[in-house]
Amino acid sequence: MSEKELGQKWDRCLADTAVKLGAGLGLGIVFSVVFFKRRTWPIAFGSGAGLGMAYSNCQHDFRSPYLLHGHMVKEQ
Amino acid sequence: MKSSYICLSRLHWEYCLSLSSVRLVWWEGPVMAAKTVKLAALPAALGFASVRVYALSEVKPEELLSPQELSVYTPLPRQLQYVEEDPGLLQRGLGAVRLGLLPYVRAIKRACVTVKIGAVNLYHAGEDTYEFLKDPPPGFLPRVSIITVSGLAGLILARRGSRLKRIGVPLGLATMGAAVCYPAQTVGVLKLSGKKAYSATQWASSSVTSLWKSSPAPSASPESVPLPASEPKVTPPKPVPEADSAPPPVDEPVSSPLPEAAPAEETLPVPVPVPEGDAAAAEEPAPLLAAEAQPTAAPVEDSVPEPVPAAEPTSQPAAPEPVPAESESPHAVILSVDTPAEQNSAPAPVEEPASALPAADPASLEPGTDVPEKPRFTPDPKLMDHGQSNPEDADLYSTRS
Repeated sequence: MSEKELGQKWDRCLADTAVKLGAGLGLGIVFSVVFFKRRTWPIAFGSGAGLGMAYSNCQHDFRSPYLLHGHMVKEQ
Repeated sequence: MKSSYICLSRLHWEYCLSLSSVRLVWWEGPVMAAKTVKLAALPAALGFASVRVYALSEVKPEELLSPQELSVYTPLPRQLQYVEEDPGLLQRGLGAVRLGLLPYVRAIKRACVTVKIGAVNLYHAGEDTYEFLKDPPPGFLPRVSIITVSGLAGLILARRGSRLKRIGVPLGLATMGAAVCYPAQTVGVLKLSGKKAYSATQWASSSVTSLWKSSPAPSASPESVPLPASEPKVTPPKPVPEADSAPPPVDEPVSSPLPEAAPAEETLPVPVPVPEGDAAAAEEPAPLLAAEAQPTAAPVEDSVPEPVPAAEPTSQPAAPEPVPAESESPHAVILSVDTPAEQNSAPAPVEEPASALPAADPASLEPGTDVPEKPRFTPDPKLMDHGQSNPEDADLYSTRS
């Protein structure tokens, strides 16, 4: 894996972590406010779940050096 | 009552059932008759039902292929291409931040590695020290005690003095005690430090000299070519006082070849600069050639190109000082100094620049060609294999047969 590819993987990983953490945190806040009377544990749970999913994705991405990120399109 | 009909389909079967049921109660009257008519009409209606059939020539959806359209021999090539994903704004921003922080991360990594190596080395050093102290060699403890006692004595003697005295006296006495206990090691350390100090002073003085004499050096280059032809015509009487004056300034704490090298220095570079008074130019080559071989002064007198001045920046600083005043007749100096120079051995490093000098002869002898200044590689004497011509043994024998 070249330095450039490693850097791109890190960028993807950090972006994914930010998105999932933010989404988990947001959902946790919503659930905490709506259903659980502003308790803190839904927020912690949501953040942890988001972080765990992002960590798992990053781990899979780093352990697969030949994994490509893209899609197939028809030639025009 | 079982029905004896052969039912070909479900509808037909239901119809048969219905008929059989009707036959059992056929005597019930008009209600049953209506039912019978209704049931009889059903298969008739089915007979008129239409089924939509698609013809082969009609248009079909693109993603579906009929079996007739499929290739029997090779699959159709899929005209697809792979396109990498386009990073989003967040990913691009994180990438820019990462690239900006990369040098600092690398510096921190290097620092951590250095600290780790230092810690490992410290651990090993401590381990070795422990092993050494666990089973010290004989005489080690008395020596250590002498050094310690001398240091403490210095501390006691200088307890009422200034801060400098309180630091210097114990250190001095401890050093003296160490010198008494370990004389061989002390001599080695002094030799090494003396050599380093000497080379440092040589370098400093040569750099100062070169800084002072840098301006007149370029003017000497264009006039170096005609000099070889006119060398034999230089006035003979002048070199005599020069030869006499050359040795005295060389009386310095230098190795023996160096005093002879001083007049050779004058000869070697002087042919290159103009003998019309470029004293400053002569000074610059002279210190640089301090360590060059005197035996090579004869072949050198014809060539001595400007690269020679670039060699040997660590030569004597004092020797070239009288040279500027006596650079008027360099060629005669060569003639007069050749004989004593040849008799003395030269250190090996001198041989290399000297050997390089004849190589430059053709370039310098060509008429009408300018000898450009070229930086020449001067090997470090400490790194060279002198063989039997080690500079330390310069006074023992000559390398020239």
